[in-house]
Amino acid sequence: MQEGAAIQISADPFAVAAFIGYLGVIVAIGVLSARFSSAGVSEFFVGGRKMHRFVVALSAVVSGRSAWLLLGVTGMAYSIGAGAVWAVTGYITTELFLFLFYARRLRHFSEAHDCVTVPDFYAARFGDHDGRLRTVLIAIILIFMVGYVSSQFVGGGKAFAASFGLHPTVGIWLTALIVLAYTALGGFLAVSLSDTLQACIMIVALVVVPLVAIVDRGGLVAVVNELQAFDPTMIDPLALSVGVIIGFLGIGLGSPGNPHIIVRYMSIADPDQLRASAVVGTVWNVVMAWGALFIGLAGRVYFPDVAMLPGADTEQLYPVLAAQHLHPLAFGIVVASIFAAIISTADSQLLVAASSVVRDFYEKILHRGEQIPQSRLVLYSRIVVVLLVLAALVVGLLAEALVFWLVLFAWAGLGASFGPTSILALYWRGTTRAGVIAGLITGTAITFAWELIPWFDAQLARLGPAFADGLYELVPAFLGGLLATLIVSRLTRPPAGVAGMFDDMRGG
Amino acid sequence: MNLAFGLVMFVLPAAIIGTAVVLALLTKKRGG
Repeated sequence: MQEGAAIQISADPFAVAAFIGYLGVIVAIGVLSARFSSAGVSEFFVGGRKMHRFVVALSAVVSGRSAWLLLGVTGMAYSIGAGAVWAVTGYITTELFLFLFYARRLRHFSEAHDCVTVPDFYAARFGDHDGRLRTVLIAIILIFMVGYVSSQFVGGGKAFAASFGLHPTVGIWLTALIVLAYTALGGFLAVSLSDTLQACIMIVALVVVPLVAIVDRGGLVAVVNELQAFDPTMIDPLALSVGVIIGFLGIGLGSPGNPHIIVRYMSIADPDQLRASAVVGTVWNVVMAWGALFIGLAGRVYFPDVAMLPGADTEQLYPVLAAQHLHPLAFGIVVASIFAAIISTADSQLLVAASSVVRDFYEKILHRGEQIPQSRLVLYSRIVVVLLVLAALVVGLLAEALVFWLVLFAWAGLGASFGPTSILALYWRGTTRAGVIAGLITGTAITFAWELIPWFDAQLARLGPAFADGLYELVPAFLGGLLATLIVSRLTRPPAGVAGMFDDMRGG
Repeated sequence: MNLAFGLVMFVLPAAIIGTAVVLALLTKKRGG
């Protein structure tokens, strides 16, 4: 098979029409949402807390799933087989509990204290009058989010390059321009509505592609039998080291700490509807994830040797398999689903980063206590979105080869800092501001240290073969952040009025 | 078909969705 040939769709008018139609709808959503989002920062950054349960469910789910699910998990299942199931089980289970319990408390508190951003929640919960806690939160968001967004742009650029035969740099620019157009214009509403549409495209593609591929091969039993004959470990979910399984399950620790997911919970119109969001979000998460797993497994039967894939790259499996089995129009939708995954994550991250600059830094620190016209704040928000896109573009273009590891690294850094601190802030009355600052810094520091210094994984490997493959940095960093918050909180005094705040979380 | 494979590929996803439905109903009852 010639490199890139299988996923070249530029020649087929059906596929190009499907893809351009999808892009047109996304940009139209941005234009139509612009009027609503111009009303103020609450509308621009959290949709005026008027989002429907279905929109919140799908937007929260797909904001957390980048191209990692469509290209990474399919490739992982292709390489290691059924063991890849642990990489999706952790985050799906965590997000189910977040929807049902964590989200409701956060949403009630946010309304009572007029919180628009996640740092707003921390500042209100811990009486952060001098802005010290907010400053730490802004720094962590910006450190991880710019790289995170740039990795999405690079992913989009590569997908453009593979699909349309464009140069990757042109693809990166195009991805950035599309995200910029509807995010800067339509704010949170455009991002949430487009995420909902993209969630629908993704789930259709992730059901149709494995179904058609498996049926074409004679059915599920035939595919499993072929896999077993090829390599029995492909159908053994426990054929991985304990360290790898813990690391895979530990991916779920990132969900409560990624502000672009958390802020979705704050936007629902009626907190009681979060129960319905939990069911819808979980069904979507499960169907998409298992669809990706079945694509990987079926793909191994079609391409037993990785050299049969373009560039021997397992991440090419999904589009290649789709190109082989689908009508060009349906294949255009599959290519759109890859962009949907990338764009629905990048837009949410961009908005969170912009809100930390405009709402948290400019309004709440630089001009604290002043009345700033809402129209000016919305204008500044749009300008900051443009500047952040440029910053992410610079990072993406300068460090194109480096940015992919940033996806799991940023997920870990945000998860280890915001995750344990936000859970304790919502559930433990003894949590203090000093404890949270300690937890945020410790979680971030361990993420960097574990990733950059091989000594940690080397020490772990000495424990035995179970940890021979190392451990995802999120697991030790989350535990470190949790311990630091607990210990320092024990040594310091909680803010006044904690009982009233916990009443606010219950909606009382 | 391998038992562990059947469990993680079919029973596990069904169990997760089932848990979501049951918990959503239980929390509704508790909330009155």
